Amino acid sequence: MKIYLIVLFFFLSHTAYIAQICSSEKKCKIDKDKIRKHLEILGSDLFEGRGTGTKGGALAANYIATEFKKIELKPVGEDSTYFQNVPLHGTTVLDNSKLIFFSSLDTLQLSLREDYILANSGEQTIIPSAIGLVFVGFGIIAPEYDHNDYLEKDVTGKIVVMLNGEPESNSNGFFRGDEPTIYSYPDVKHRIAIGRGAAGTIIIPQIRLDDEKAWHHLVNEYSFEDVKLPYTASENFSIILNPNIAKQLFVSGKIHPNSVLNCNLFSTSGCTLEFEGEFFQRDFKAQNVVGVIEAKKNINNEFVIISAHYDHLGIGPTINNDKIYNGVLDNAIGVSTLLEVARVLQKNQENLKRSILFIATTGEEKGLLGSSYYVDHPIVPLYKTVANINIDGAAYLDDFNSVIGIGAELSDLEKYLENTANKSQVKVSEIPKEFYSYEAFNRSDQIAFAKAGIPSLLLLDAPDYANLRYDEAINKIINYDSKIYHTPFDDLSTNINYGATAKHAEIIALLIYNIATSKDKINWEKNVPYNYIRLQTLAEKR
Amino acid sequence: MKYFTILILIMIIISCSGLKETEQNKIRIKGSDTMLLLNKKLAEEFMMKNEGISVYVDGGGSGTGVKALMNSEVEICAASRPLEPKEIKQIGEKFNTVGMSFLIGRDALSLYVNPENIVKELSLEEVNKIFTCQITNWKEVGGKDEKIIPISRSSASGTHLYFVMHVLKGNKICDSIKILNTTNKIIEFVKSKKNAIGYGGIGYGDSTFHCKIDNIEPTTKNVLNNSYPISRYLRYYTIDKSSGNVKKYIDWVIGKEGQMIIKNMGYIPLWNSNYSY
Repeated sequence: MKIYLIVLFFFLSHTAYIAQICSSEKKCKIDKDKIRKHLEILGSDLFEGRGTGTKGGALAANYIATEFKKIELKPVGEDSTYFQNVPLHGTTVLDNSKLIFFSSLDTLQLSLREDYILANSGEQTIIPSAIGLVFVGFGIIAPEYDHNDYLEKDVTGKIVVMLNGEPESNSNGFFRGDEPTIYSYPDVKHRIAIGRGAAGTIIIPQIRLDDEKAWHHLVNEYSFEDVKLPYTASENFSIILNPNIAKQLFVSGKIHPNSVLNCNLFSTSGCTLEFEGEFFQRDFKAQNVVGVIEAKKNINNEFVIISAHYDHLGIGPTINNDKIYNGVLDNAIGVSTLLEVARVLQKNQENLKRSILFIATTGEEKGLLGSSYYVDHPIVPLYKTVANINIDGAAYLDDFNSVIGIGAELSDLEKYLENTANKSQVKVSEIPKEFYSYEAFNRSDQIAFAKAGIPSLLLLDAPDYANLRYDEAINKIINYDSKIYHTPFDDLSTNINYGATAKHAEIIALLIYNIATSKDKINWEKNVPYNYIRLQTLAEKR
Repeated sequence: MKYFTILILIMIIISCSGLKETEQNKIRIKGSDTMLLLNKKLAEEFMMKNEGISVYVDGGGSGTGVKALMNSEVEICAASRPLEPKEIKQIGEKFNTVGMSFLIGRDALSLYVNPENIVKELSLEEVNKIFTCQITNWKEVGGKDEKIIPISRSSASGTHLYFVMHVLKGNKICDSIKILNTTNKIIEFVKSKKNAIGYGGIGYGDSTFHCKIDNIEPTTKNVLNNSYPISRYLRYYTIDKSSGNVKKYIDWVIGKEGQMIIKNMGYIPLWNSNYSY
């Protein structure tokens, strides 16, 4: 999913160190051929990109459930199956939708996808009568940084126009320097706007006006069905406007003769807008696939959750005659790793003091829907769930010497990771500075578990490879991010070093084994916001 | 004296605990008249299966429900329309949240005419013109040369707001149109006047005729395949993510049993019994 860092990681040949978590019997070792077999099935065209609520998605869920059964995980889903049904609501915007801008001099009907894309869909987004626009800079109210874009602006009943992102910063004291804050997220901006009475939002992405590819990339990202849980925070009209159109609209409309990217000079005075949206809506259920290894010595009835999302984008816009978004690295490889880790850990059941719940989640690409639904409807109590290890991507480029524990520093999981890394003869690295802006902890299922108070981490291989220089590795990662991620090219033609993937799986298996054979509490660091929620779930035994 | 003081303290503690327990076990719902009968049925069935939890249901229109939610008079607002921007703002100012929306089912808006009326079909545009008084005689839409008597819900009604937004495209109904407060009153009126036309949910109005709109019948099948042009979602709103018995109730409504009741009451459940894509 939104895990660009997925690519960050690679590697090692299978002849290198192999973490032994049980005896030296072959059945207890990670088998790279089994990972390969799962990957070649889940990543094949037969599974049609495993879109949420599609035939391919259902096929993938059934395949994972069959594998869970083969390795004798206990079914803990509905009616003693491996499935937790996740109710979902899908909306597809239709081409006959009409978005019309009015200025004092002109009227312009915009073209869906070419000129704008919808960030929200559905009946709550319709604006039948033209209403006014107000420009609010970045649309941020951040008291801790003494920043308020809404000062002396009444946006009640109006459409708010804002720039994507947040103010530039060179210091951690003001919008955290290079690292984006939560205020940069479009949904947070939208929530701030509608909380102040706005009838909707227009977000102008900060991409170069001559960068057609960047706009088309964005259009592709939003070309898929908009899927949400049937319960959401209130939302209304929200679009992303092509910066070229923004410039044309607000400059040629004689509103203001400045670039749309210069927020201090930008004005929308005199502009109004109406939107007659036409949608196809449907309601359906997709499945989280759930199975448990029961610990023999589980005195405290505690659990560790291992998650990996099995959904990808499904079938989408055709690129180079290919319309199947296979998602081999995102995240067929993660699910394949999870299946092999589960097989190996099952062989070691008798030593476990904590049970292990495996969840192959749905709807991650649509906004962490499967994991969010799970924590709202947990199968085992949240307060009895000691940790979540999420797998989103796995090493595939080359043998690696270091790993990164995304989110590990927030809790005692850091100690388990360091211990595991030592035993596995790898180092623990920081996120490379080139990827500070990726906000990796917030971009996959581990954040949903963290928000429910469960200490969580995502383990990735670091760009510290046996056969690749650092700069070569970074270039490969950037290339993946810009040219392969969320395209049909993330497919089985990818050259995968299965030895590296197996090593990654071994480290994950050992990490889980270390947690599940321990009785020690796993706490959040003090002042981490998720600790507050953890203390509540513990107090309420929820 | 000492024992007496302790006894008093214990009684206060028990009394306070009891009050808290009572409040937690009482769920109050207010809002949409379209959803009133449905909510009462859901509440009844839920209470039968969950001894010790009481559910109180009241109508008054979606707008009334939103106000009650904002005043903390109820835990759940039932609404047949999305919240308006000014309502979200008020919730935001008071609770620092934008409110949580829960889809619970679907409904289609039917145009009710008297069974004696020979007009059985209208276009959306014709309906728009009838309620904005640009068309005033049934002969203009293929009927007899008789004056049309449109009837509407009040502006507090979510059904009315939905109708204004999606059928009248933001135009106001003309001032001469009579207003009635409930869907049942609309139906009674249409039943008694052969030239009347009103609107309301497809789950109501068996004694009237439900017009085809743009040649599409208002049926469950046509709502689910998105061909019938005026359908909407029925929603619950809470201030924040629900918990405790309120969550239990909403989960039950969205679950198998609640959805079956929604279906049996003439509305359209979100999910069929099979969960396929």
